[in-house]
Amino acid sequence: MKAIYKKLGIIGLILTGLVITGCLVSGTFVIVEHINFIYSAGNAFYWYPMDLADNSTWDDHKDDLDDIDAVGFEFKIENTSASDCEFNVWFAPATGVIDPYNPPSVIPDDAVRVINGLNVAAGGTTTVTYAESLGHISNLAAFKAIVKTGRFDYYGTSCDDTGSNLFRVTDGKIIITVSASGS
Amino acid sequence: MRKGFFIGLFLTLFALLSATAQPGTKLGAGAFAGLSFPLLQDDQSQGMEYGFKGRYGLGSLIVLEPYVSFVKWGEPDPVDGTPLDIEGSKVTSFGLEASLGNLPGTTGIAPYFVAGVGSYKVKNDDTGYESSKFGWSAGLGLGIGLSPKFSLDVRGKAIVAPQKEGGSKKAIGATAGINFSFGGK
Repeated sequence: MKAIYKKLGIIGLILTGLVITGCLVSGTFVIVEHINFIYSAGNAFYWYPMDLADNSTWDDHKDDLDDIDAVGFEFKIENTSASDCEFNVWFAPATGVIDPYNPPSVIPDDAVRVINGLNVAAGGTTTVTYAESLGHISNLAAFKAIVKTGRFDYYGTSCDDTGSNLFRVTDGKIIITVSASGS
Repeated sequence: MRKGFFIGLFLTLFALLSATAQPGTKLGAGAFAGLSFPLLQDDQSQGMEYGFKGRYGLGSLIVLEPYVSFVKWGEPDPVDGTPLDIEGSKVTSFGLEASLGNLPGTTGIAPYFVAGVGSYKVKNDDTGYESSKFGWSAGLGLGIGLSPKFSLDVRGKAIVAPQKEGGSKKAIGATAGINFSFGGK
Protein backbone atom coordinates (compact mmCIF):
# COMPACT_ATOMS: atom_id res chain seq x y z
CA MET A 1 0.00 0.00 0.00
CA LYS A 2 2.82 2.35 0.90
CA ALA A 3 4.53 1.74 -2.46
CA ILE A 4 1.32 2.48 -4.37
CA TYR A 5 0.86 5.64 -2.34
CA LYS A 6 4.40 6.71 -3.13
CA LYS A 7 4.08 6.02 -6.88
CA LEU A 8 0.76 7.82 -7.13
CA GLY A 9 2.25 10.73 -5.19
CA ILE A 10 5.11 11.02 -7.66
CA ILE A 11 2.67 10.89 -10.57
CA GLY A 12 0.69 13.59 -8.85
CA LEU A 13 3.72 15.80 -8.46
CA ILE A 14 4.57 15.37 -12.12
CA LEU A 15 1.01 16.20 -13.18
CA THR A 16 1.00 19.26 -10.95
CA GLY A 17 4.27 20.40 -12.47
CA LEU A 18 2.85 19.96 -15.96
CA VAL A 19 -0.23 21.98 -15.09
CA ILE A 20 1.82 24.78 -13.57
CA THR A 21 4.65 24.99 -16.08
CA GLY A 22 3.32 23.46 -19.30
CA CYS A 23 0.33 25.75 -19.51
CA LEU A 24 2.18 28.99 -18.79
CA VAL A 25 2.67 29.63 -22.47
CA SER A 26 -0.68 31.39 -22.57
CA GLY A 27 -1.64 34.57 -20.80
CA THR A 28 -3.53 37.85 -20.79
CA PHE A 29 -1.69 40.99 -21.79
CA VAL A 30 -2.63 44.66 -21.69
CA ILE A 31 -1.46 46.97 -24.48
CA VAL A 32 -1.47 50.75 -24.11
CA GLU A 33 -1.13 52.76 -27.32
CA HIS A 34 -0.82 56.54 -27.25
CA ILE A 35 -2.81 58.59 -29.74
CA ASN A 36 -2.17 62.03 -31.13
CA PHE A 37 -4.69 62.94 -33.77
CA ILE A 38 -2.88 63.73 -36.98
CA TYR A 39 -5.91 65.14 -38.70
CA SER A 40 -7.96 67.64 -36.72
CA ALA A 41 -11.67 68.36 -36.54
CA GLY A 42 -10.97 71.60 -38.37
CA ASN A 43 -10.84 69.35 -41.40
CA ALA A 44 -14.27 67.85 -40.59
CA PHE A 45 -12.96 64.89 -38.60
CA TYR A 46 -10.06 63.65 -36.54
CA TRP A 47 -7.97 60.80 -37.90
CA TYR A 48 -5.32 58.59 -36.39
CA PRO A 49 -4.06 55.53 -38.27
CA MET A 50 -2.89 52.68 -36.04
CA ASP A 51 -0.65 49.70 -36.66
CA LEU A 52 -0.16 47.59 -33.55
CA ALA A 53 2.80 45.85 -35.21
CA ASP A 54 4.88 48.66 -33.71
CA ASN A 55 3.91 47.54 -30.22
CA SER A 56 6.30 44.95 -28.78
CA THR A 57 3.64 43.17 -26.69
CA TRP A 58 1.33 42.86 -29.70
CA ASP A 59 4.21 41.79 -31.90
CA ASP A 60 5.16 39.05 -29.43
CA HIS A 61 1.65 37.54 -29.41
CA LYS A 62 -0.06 38.58 -32.66
CA ASP A 63 0.30 35.10 -34.19
CA ASP A 64 -1.21 33.37 -31.15
CA LEU A 65 -4.13 35.65 -30.35
CA ASP A 66 -7.16 33.95 -28.87
CA ASP A 67 -9.38 36.87 -28.07
CA ILE A 68 -9.65 40.58 -27.45
CA ASP A 69 -10.85 40.42 -23.85
CA ALA A 70 -11.47 44.14 -23.51
CA VAL A 71 -10.85 47.42 -25.26
CA GLY A 72 -11.25 50.97 -24.03
CA PHE A 73 -9.91 54.52 -24.27
CA GLU A 74 -8.56 57.43 -22.39
CA PHE A 75 -8.74 61.00 -23.63
CA LYS A 76 -9.21 64.59 -22.57
CA ILE A 77 -11.59 66.92 -24.35
CA GLU A 78 -11.48 70.69 -24.05
CA ASN A 79 -14.43 72.56 -25.48
CA THR A 80 -13.61 76.27 -25.34
CA SER A 81 -16.37 77.22 -27.75
CA ALA A 82 -19.60 78.95 -26.74
CA SER A 83 -21.77 75.95 -27.54
CA ASP A 84 -22.15 72.40 -26.23
CA CYS A 85 -20.47 69.82 -28.41
CA GLU A 86 -20.71 66.08 -28.94
CA PHE A 87 -17.76 63.80 -29.60
CA ASN A 88 -18.20 60.70 -31.75
CA VAL A 89 -15.67 57.98 -32.47
CA TRP A 90 -15.48 55.46 -35.30
CA PHE A 91 -13.02 52.69 -36.03
CA ALA A 92 -12.45 51.25 -39.47
CA PRO A 93 -10.33 48.34 -40.66
CA ALA A 94 -7.31 49.41 -42.67
CA THR A 95 -4.50 47.86 -44.66
CA GLY A 96 -1.07 48.81 -45.85
CA VAL A 97 1.66 51.00 -44.50
CA ILE A 98 0.53 54.12 -42.62
CA ASP A 99 0.97 57.30 -44.62
CA PRO A 100 0.15 60.31 -42.43
CA TYR A 101 0.57 62.61 -45.43
CA ASN A 102 -2.23 60.92 -47.30
CA PRO A 103 -5.27 61.21 -45.03
CA PRO A 104 -8.68 59.92 -46.09
CA SER A 105 -11.16 62.45 -47.42
CA VAL A 106 -14.17 60.87 -45.72
CA ILE A 107 -14.90 58.44 -42.90
CA PRO A 108 -15.27 55.10 -44.73
CA ASP A 109 -18.61 53.29 -44.96
CA ASP A 110 -17.32 50.24 -43.10
CA ALA A 111 -16.34 52.29 -40.06
CA VAL A 112 -18.01 51.20 -36.82
CA ARG A 113 -19.23 53.88 -34.44
CA VAL A 114 -18.03 53.05 -30.95
CA ILE A 115 -18.70 56.30 -29.09
CA ASN A 116 -21.96 58.00 -29.90
CA GLY A 117 -22.63 61.57 -28.83
CA LEU A 118 -20.41 62.10 -25.79
CA ASN A 119 -21.54 65.55 -24.69
CA VAL A 120 -19.03 68.20 -23.64
CA ALA A 121 -20.52 71.38 -22.27
CA ALA A 122 -19.53 74.79 -23.61
CA GLY A 123 -16.33 75.95 -21.97
CA GLY A 124 -15.93 72.57 -20.31
CA THR A 125 -13.22 69.96 -20.06
CA THR A 126 -14.01 66.27 -19.92
CA THR A 127 -11.47 63.60 -19.06
CA VAL A 128 -12.59 60.09 -19.86
CA THR A 129 -10.66 57.37 -18.06
CA TYR A 130 -10.32 53.80 -19.29
CA ALA A 131 -12.86 52.57 -16.74
CA GLU A 132 -15.33 55.30 -17.69
CA SER A 133 -14.87 54.67 -21.40
CA LEU A 134 -16.09 51.09 -21.01
CA GLY A 135 -19.54 52.48 -20.24
CA HIS A 136 -19.59 54.63 -23.40
CA ILE A 137 -18.61 51.99 -25.96
CA SER A 138 -21.20 50.58 -28.35
CA ASN A 139 -20.88 47.93 -31.08
CA LEU A 140 -18.27 46.21 -28.90
CA ALA A 141 -18.11 42.92 -30.83
CA ALA A 142 -17.50 44.68 -34.16
CA PHE A 143 -14.99 46.99 -32.48
CA LYS A 144 -13.05 44.02 -31.07
CA ALA A 145 -13.04 42.32 -34.48
CA ILE A 146 -11.46 45.42 -36.04
CA VAL A 147 -8.88 45.74 -33.26
CA LYS A 148 -7.97 42.07 -33.61
CA THR A 149 -6.68 42.77 -37.14
CA GLY A 150 -3.98 45.00 -35.60
CA ARG A 151 -4.26 47.62 -38.36
CA PHE A 152 -7.10 50.12 -38.22
CA ASP A 153 -7.95 53.81 -38.32
CA TYR A 154 -9.41 55.88 -35.49
CA TYR A 155 -11.82 58.67 -36.51
CA GLY A 156 -13.52 61.31 -34.40
CA THR A 157 -15.98 64.10 -35.04
CA SER A 158 -17.08 67.04 -32.98
CA CYS A 159 -19.03 70.21 -33.75
CA ASP A 160 -18.75 71.01 -37.43
CA ASP A 161 -17.93 74.65 -36.98
CA THR A 162 -15.85 74.91 -33.85
CA GLY A 163 -12.52 74.06 -35.42
CA SER A 164 -9.58 72.34 -33.82
CA ASN A 165 -8.63 75.29 -31.62
CA LEU A 166 -11.98 75.41 -29.89
CA PHE A 167 -12.52 71.69 -29.47
CA ARG A 168 -9.37 69.76 -28.69
CA VAL A 169 -8.95 66.07 -28.02
CA THR A 170 -5.64 65.31 -26.31
CA ASP A 171 -3.86 62.73 -24.11
CA GLY A 172 -5.46 59.93 -26.08
CA LYS A 173 -4.80 56.27 -25.39
CA ILE A 174 -6.37 53.05 -26.56
CA ILE A 175 -6.06 50.21 -24.06
CA ILE A 176 -6.42 46.67 -25.38
CA THR A 177 -6.51 43.47 -23.31
CA VAL A 178 -5.63 40.38 -25.32
CA SER A 179 -5.52 36.68 -24.55
CA ALA A 180 -2.87 34.70 -26.35
CA SER A 181 -1.65 31.13 -26.22
CA GLY A 182 1.27 29.36 -27.77
CA SER A 183 4.98 29.86 -27.55
CA MET B 1 -28.00 34.40 -7.64
CA ARG B 2 -25.79 31.54 -8.76
CA LYS B 3 -23.62 31.88 -5.68
CA GLY B 4 -26.68 31.72 -3.41
CA PHE B 5 -27.89 28.62 -5.21
CA PHE B 6 -24.61 26.78 -4.67
CA ILE B 7 -24.31 27.80 -1.03
CA GLY B 8 -27.91 26.71 -0.45
CA LEU B 9 -27.29 23.41 -2.22
CA PHE B 10 -24.18 22.78 -0.16
CA LEU B 11 -25.90 23.54 3.14
CA THR B 12 -28.80 21.27 2.20
CA LEU B 13 -26.45 18.41 1.34
CA PHE B 14 -24.51 19.07 4.53
CA ALA B 15 -27.69 18.80 6.60
CA LEU B 16 -28.82 15.63 4.82
CA LEU B 17 -25.44 13.96 5.27
CA SER B 18 -25.35 14.96 8.91
CA ALA B 19 -28.76 13.42 9.48
CA THR B 20 -28.07 10.16 7.66
CA ALA B 21 -24.39 9.47 8.27
CA GLN B 22 -23.46 6.33 10.20
CA PRO B 23 -20.13 5.44 11.84
CA GLY B 24 -17.74 4.11 9.25
CA THR B 25 -19.29 5.85 6.22
CA LYS B 26 -16.25 8.14 5.81
CA LEU B 27 -18.38 11.08 4.85
CA GLY B 28 -17.44 14.61 5.57
CA ALA B 29 -17.75 18.21 4.58
CA GLY B 30 -15.65 21.29 4.89
CA ALA B 31 -15.12 24.93 4.14
CA PHE B 32 -12.01 26.71 2.98
CA ALA B 33 -10.70 30.20 2.32
CA GLY B 34 -7.47 31.78 1.21
CA LEU B 35 -5.72 33.66 -1.53
CA SER B 36 -5.75 33.28 -5.30
CA PHE B 37 -2.81 34.43 -7.39
CA PRO B 38 -3.57 34.92 -11.11
CA LEU B 39 -0.74 33.76 -13.37
CA LEU B 40 0.32 35.74 -16.45
CA GLN B 41 -2.72 37.99 -16.32
CA ASP B 42 -1.85 41.67 -16.64
CA ASP B 43 -5.46 42.62 -16.01
CA GLN B 44 -5.79 40.94 -12.61
CA SER B 45 -4.04 40.91 -9.27
CA GLN B 46 -4.10 38.75 -6.16
CA GLY B 47 -7.54 38.15 -4.71
CA MET B 48 -9.57 36.10 -2.28
CA GLU B 49 -11.02 32.62 -2.59
CA TYR B 50 -13.51 30.73 -0.47
CA GLY B 51 -15.66 27.68 -0.92
CA PHE B 52 -17.29 24.56 0.40
CA LYS B 53 -16.80 20.89 -0.27
CA GLY B 54 -18.22 17.49 0.49
CA ARG B 55 -15.88 14.58 1.24
CA TYR B 56 -16.31 10.87 0.61
CA GLY B 57 -13.62 8.32 1.33
CA LEU B 58 -13.42 5.83 -1.52
CA GLY B 59 -11.51 2.77 -0.33
CA SER B 60 -8.52 3.36 1.84
CA LEU B 61 -6.66 5.85 -0.31
CA ILE B 62 -8.85 8.18 -2.34
CA VAL B 63 -11.18 10.94 -1.20
CA LEU B 64 -13.76 12.36 -3.61
CA GLU B 65 -14.59 16.02 -3.02
CA PRO B 66 -17.48 17.74 -4.79
CA TYR B 67 -16.88 21.44 -4.33
CA VAL B 68 -17.95 24.94 -5.13
CA SER B 69 -15.58 27.88 -4.91
CA PHE B 70 -15.71 31.63 -5.42
CA VAL B 71 -12.70 33.73 -6.38
CA LYS B 72 -12.57 37.50 -6.64
CA TRP B 73 -9.33 38.76 -8.11
CA GLY B 74 -8.04 42.23 -7.31
CA GLU B 75 -7.77 45.46 -9.28
CA PRO B 76 -4.94 45.29 -11.83
CA ASP B 77 -1.74 47.21 -11.38
CA PRO B 78 -1.14 50.19 -13.71
CA VAL B 79 0.09 49.23 -17.17
CA ASP B 80 2.79 51.50 -18.64
CA GLY B 81 1.88 54.04 -15.99
CA THR B 82 -1.80 53.92 -16.91
CA PRO B 83 -4.13 52.94 -14.04
CA LEU B 84 -6.99 50.84 -15.32
CA ASP B 85 -9.20 51.42 -12.26
CA ILE B 86 -11.37 48.39 -12.91
CA GLU B 87 -12.38 45.55 -10.64
CA GLY B 88 -10.73 42.16 -11.00
CA SER B 89 -12.66 39.26 -12.46
CA LYS B 90 -14.80 36.82 -10.53
CA VAL B 91 -14.33 33.08 -10.98
CA THR B 92 -17.12 30.75 -9.94
CA SER B 93 -16.24 27.10 -10.05
CA PHE B 94 -17.91 23.83 -9.17
CA GLY B 95 -16.84 20.28 -9.85
CA LEU B 96 -15.24 17.21 -8.41
CA GLU B 97 -11.76 16.75 -7.02
CA ALA B 98 -10.05 13.60 -5.85
CA SER B 99 -7.33 13.62 -3.24
CA LEU B 100 -4.87 10.87 -2.63
CA GLY B 101 -4.82 10.43 1.11
CA ASN B 102 -6.19 12.63 3.90
CA LEU B 103 -9.22 10.38 4.45
CA PRO B 104 -12.11 11.73 6.49
CA GLY B 105 -12.15 10.58 10.11
CA THR B 106 -8.42 9.95 10.44
CA THR B 107 -6.07 11.68 12.86
CA GLY B 108 -2.51 12.82 12.45
CA ILE B 109 -0.69 14.65 9.69
CA ALA B 110 -1.12 13.48 6.08
CA PRO B 111 0.37 15.09 2.97
CA TYR B 112 -1.77 14.52 -0.08
CA PHE B 113 -2.08 15.15 -3.80
CA VAL B 114 -5.31 16.53 -5.23
CA ALA B 115 -6.60 16.88 -8.80
CA GLY B 116 -9.99 17.64 -10.25
CA VAL B 117 -12.22 18.84 -13.05
CA GLY B 118 -14.88 21.48 -12.88
CA SER B 119 -16.82 24.24 -14.54
CA TYR B 120 -15.09 27.60 -14.39
CA LYS B 121 -17.02 30.78 -15.09
CA VAL B 122 -14.84 33.86 -15.45
CA LYS B 123 -16.69 37.18 -15.44
CA ASN B 124 -15.67 40.81 -15.27
CA ASP B 125 -18.48 43.24 -14.58
CA ASP B 126 -16.51 46.29 -15.74
CA THR B 127 -15.24 45.06 -19.10
CA GLY B 128 -18.16 42.74 -19.86
CA TYR B 129 -15.82 39.79 -20.36
CA GLU B 130 -17.42 36.42 -19.66
CA SER B 131 -16.48 32.83 -20.42
CA SER B 132 -17.60 29.52 -18.99
CA LYS B 133 -15.93 26.19 -19.72
CA PHE B 134 -14.67 23.05 -18.05
CA GLY B 135 -11.18 23.19 -16.64
CA TRP B 136 -8.97 21.30 -14.27
CA SER B 137 -6.85 21.71 -11.20
CA ALA B 138 -4.01 19.94 -9.41
CA GLY B 139 -2.05 20.56 -6.27
CA LEU B 140 -0.69 19.40 -2.97
CA GLY B 141 -1.96 19.67 0.55
CA LEU B 142 -1.41 18.78 4.14
CA GLY B 143 -4.20 17.33 6.25
CA ILE B 144 -4.06 17.69 10.00
CA GLY B 145 -6.52 15.37 11.73
CA LEU B 146 -7.21 16.87 15.15
CA SER B 147 -9.77 14.23 16.07
CA PRO B 148 -11.92 11.65 14.25
CA LYS B 149 -14.49 14.40 13.76
CA PHE B 150 -12.42 17.47 12.94
CA SER B 151 -9.44 18.12 10.73
CA LEU B 152 -7.66 21.06 9.21
CA ASP B 153 -6.02 21.20 5.84
CA VAL B 154 -3.86 23.60 3.90
CA ARG B 155 -3.71 23.32 0.15
CA GLY B 156 -1.80 24.82 -2.75
CA LYS B 157 -3.44 24.25 -6.09
CA ALA B 158 -3.01 25.34 -9.68
CA ILE B 159 -6.16 25.93 -11.69
CA VAL B 160 -6.41 26.06 -15.46
CA ALA B 161 -9.66 27.49 -16.81
CA PRO B 162 -9.87 27.24 -20.61
CA GLN B 163 -11.72 30.10 -22.31
CA LYS B 164 -14.38 29.95 -24.99
CA GLU B 165 -12.21 31.65 -27.63
CA GLY B 166 -9.12 29.58 -26.76
CA GLY B 167 -6.31 29.95 -24.27
CA SER B 168 -6.90 29.77 -20.56
CA LYS B 169 -6.90 31.73 -17.34
CA LYS B 170 -4.60 30.28 -14.73
CA ALA B 171 -4.08 30.85 -11.06
CA ILE B 172 -2.52 29.39 -7.95
CA GLY B 173 -4.80 29.07 -4.95
CA ALA B 174 -3.45 28.84 -1.41
CA THR B 175 -6.20 27.97 1.03
CA ALA B 176 -6.74 26.68 4.53
CA GLY B 177 -9.84 24.80 5.55
CA ILE B 178 -11.67 23.00 8.28
CA ASN B 179 -13.35 19.65 7.73
CA PHE B 180 -15.98 17.80 9.68
CA SER B 181 -16.34 14.01 9.42
CA PHE B 182 -19.73 12.42 9.84
CA GLY B 183 -18.51 8.85 10.08
CA GLY B 184 -14.87 7.98 10.35
CA LYS B 185 -12.88 4.86 11.00
